Order: sequence, then structure tokens, then C-alpha cells
Amino acid sequence: MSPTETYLKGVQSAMRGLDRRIREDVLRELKAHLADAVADGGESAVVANLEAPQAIARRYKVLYGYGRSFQSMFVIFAAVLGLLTIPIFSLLEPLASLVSLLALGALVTYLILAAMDAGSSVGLFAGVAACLVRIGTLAGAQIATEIAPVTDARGWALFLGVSFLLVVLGYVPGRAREKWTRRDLSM
Amino acid sequence: MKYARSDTARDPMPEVSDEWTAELKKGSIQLCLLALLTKEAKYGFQMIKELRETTEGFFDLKEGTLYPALRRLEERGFVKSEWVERETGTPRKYYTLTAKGRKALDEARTVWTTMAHGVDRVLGRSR
Repeated sequence: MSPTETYLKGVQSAMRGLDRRIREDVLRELKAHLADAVADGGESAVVANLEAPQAIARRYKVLYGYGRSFQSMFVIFAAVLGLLTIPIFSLLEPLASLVSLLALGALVTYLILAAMDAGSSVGLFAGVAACLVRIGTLAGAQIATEIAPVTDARGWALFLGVSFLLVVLGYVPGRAREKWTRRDLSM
Repeated sequence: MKYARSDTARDPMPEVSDEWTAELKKGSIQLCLLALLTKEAKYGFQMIKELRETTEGFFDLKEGTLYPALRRLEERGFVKSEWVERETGTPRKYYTLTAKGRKALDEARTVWTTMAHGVDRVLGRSR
């Protein structure tokens, strides 16, 4: 495999998560560009001047964002983590509480990172998904054990507060990053 | 594999920050790209070469800067692109200026000329 082919493979790998059609078009264009550049100045000169594949991929990610399927994965993963934050597996007590606390910590970290990486819209959807799964699961557990409430009014208030905070955590870091890093000097 | 730095000013001007020069370049790159397309459709490598030669090396764009910039212009409807097959060699993507792009170029050219004229006058006064 030639150095330019290796480079194109690196760019392809770095662009994972972008829409497939966009990825293919970008690679096709880059391949055509490199072919012209090699014909003009030789492969070694071209290879010495290449930017890191990650830097190239980052610019396209800023321009287009992740593809729909990749965005959905962010949301689904947040929902799964949201489910794990509910200590519904009472047979495992006291392990269930510990697992739910760890899951909550992981969810908070994940939402912040997802929002920073994939943008505020994806972060918001991920936060809403986690919030709804938490509320839905606990409400379901409450209905299933109607005689013995799963928590009291204060417990519910705290639970709802934390759940809504997840929505904020999914949105705000990504939005802040978008505002602060907006260096696009388009006409 | 070792990779090159992104497009920033690399001229030996110790008193002027790289960021300042880079901002000037960033702010004017789209105007230059539109201007390059006024007469005919062009492909990326051709535009990089022409820009480098015309500006005597001031604009030495890398592919990672040029193509996202062209795609931004395309998203705005200022240019359109088309893949053209060749008898030999890899197909090339050609960019053409649209009517909207021509109008944007005219407006931007007016802004640029006014600014350049004003700055020149001020600089002339300070010499």
C-alpha cells in the first residue's frame, strides 16, 4: 500500500461516525486531489505536507456533524445508562444502590462528553432520553408495587430534580462549546 | 507518519502574531475562492495552485482547509459542484459559481475594496 493510500485509510477511519455518503464523497475528492498533487510534485513531497487525518476529519465533523445512525447510538447509550441508574433490581441490594450511583456518575460524565463531541442537539436528545427512561422506569416500578411505594414525596422531588438536571447537562456543555469555538469566518 | 501543521502563518515576522495573520487569511479565503471561479469551473488542486501563484505564496492552502471551505460555500448556495469523469486518471470534482455566489462576490468585493482603500489611506498617513 502506498503512503497516500495509507493516509486515505487513516482519514476514512478518522471520519467514522459521519454520514456514509458525505464520507465517501470527501474521500473521493481527497483521493483525486492527492492524485493531482502526486502527478505535480511527486509522492514524497505530497506526503511530507499532509495534515493529520484527525485534523481533516474534525473539520468535516464541525461542518456536517455525525450521521443519523451515529447520533442515535449516543441517545440509545444514554437511555441504557439512564435505566441502570434506577435501583430496580432489589434482589441485589445493597449492590443495586451502588450500581445505580455508579451508573449515575457514568451517565453525567457521558452526557457532558457526548454534548461536547456530538453537539448540543445530540446532547439534548441524549439527556431527554435518559430523563424519560428514568422517570418511566421508576413510575412503572411504583405502579407495579402500588401497595408499597418505592419512595416518598421528597424522594420523588429529588429524583425528578436529578432527572431534569440530566437534560440540562446534555445541552449546556455542547452549546457553550459551540458558542465559544465558533470561529467560522464565512461570508 | 509525521504530519504537517494546519494552515497558519509561518512567515518569520516575530512582532506579528501568527493568529493575527491567520485570521486575516481566514476572513478573506472565501472571497478569493469565489473570485477564482468567476470565469470558469475549477477543481480543488487547480484552485490551490492558482491561489498560491497569484498571491506569491501568501495563500498556500492545504486540502484540509480548501475543501471544507468550498463545501461551506456550496451549503450557502454560492457554488455548485459536479464530478467529471476523465478518459485517463481519477475523476475530478469541479466547482462552479452560481448566480447567488456571483452576487455575494460583488457585495464582498465592495466591502473588501472599501476596507482596503481605507486601511491603505491610514497606513499611508502613518508612514
